[in-house]
Amino acid sequence: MLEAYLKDALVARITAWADDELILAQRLSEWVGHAPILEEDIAIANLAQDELGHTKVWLGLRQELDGADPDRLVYFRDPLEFQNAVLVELPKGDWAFTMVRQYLFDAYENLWLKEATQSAYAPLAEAASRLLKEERFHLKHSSLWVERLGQGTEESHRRAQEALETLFPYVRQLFQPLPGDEALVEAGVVPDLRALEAPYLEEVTAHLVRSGLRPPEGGYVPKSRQEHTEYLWSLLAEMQSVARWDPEAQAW
Amino acid sequence: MVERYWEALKGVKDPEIPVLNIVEMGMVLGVEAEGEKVRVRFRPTFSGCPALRLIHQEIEKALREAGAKEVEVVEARAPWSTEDLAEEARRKLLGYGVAPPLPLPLAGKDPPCPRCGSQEVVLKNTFGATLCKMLYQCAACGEVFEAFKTV
Repeated sequence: MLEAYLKDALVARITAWADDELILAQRLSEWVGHAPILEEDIAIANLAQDELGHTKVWLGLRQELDGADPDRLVYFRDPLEFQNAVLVELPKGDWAFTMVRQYLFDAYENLWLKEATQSAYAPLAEAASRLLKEERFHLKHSSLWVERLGQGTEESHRRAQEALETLFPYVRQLFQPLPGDEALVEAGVVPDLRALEAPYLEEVTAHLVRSGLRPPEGGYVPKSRQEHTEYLWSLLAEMQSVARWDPEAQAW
Repeated sequence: MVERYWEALKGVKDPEIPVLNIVEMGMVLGVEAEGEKVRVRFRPTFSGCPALRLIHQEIEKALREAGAKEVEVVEARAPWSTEDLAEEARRKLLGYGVAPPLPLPLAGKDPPCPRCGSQEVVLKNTFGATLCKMLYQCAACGEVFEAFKTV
């Protein structure tokens, strides 16, 4: 069982993870029916479905802690209540933008989920082991795409490099601790994200460079997960529209 | 009594791989019966599986037909592994034209072609028509086939 003082901190942490997965799933789903080739259309639908499944796992974990209904959280929260990182809410852009973002996010997830399988809070350790098995395939897919785009044609390289210029600074937000994280890390409940940033940067830089891309230096890093861009508003307006039209509906 | 419910659950197929039932897939962790109330502990294969809701409904239906008046399906979070597939299930997959998952230590390796058995296969897509499968092509016989992901 979890000590009471850690509960609120863990609810906040889990919500941040769940919101990252949810918003990314929505962005990925925008490609369905529009991906460059049929196989990729199928693959990206799979990715979106997986990320949405992971949202469900995290929000199920949260529900056990504070009783919050996952559907209410997804469909009836306002933009400023969302705790996702800016990285995942940016518009899908071109294929290079989507795949570079996916790679940067997948590498981060694989890294921290592996650590989280050792969590002192058993339900979290179980959830992390479950998700990690699935995330392995995401990373395989997106890292190949980064290589393909980086070393493909002049145009694919240029587009991948441009995507990286925009996206790379935002990645660092993923490693910023929330106010309650320190206590959770001390209790062995969640991994120390700050300690994972250096190995992450080393790993992705190596792969990006192998793929002929240059990670930019500096850039703006959002200060907190309360910070959002205008893009989150339109994303949520679309995602939540059906549920908000008919909140009493039993099935859609 | 519980045996009867286990038998009933063997009639519930995975809608995405209709040759396999949920018991031989290792998705059912336990069945408890108290009078006419039955409680099933159930574990999904992939967390985002869109067939979950349907499987829940099918479980309830099968158990009611077997005599249960009240059915409770509890979803376990413990990860599912392809190691939990029964041997029989692997044979059925192969017969269905899907390369069965490899033993866990070989995860990341390519499976042999389910048609001709050749090891010369090329991964076409890490993702297939369902979350649990990948897409391959055999370089020897040309067969395009699906392979169950080893997890």
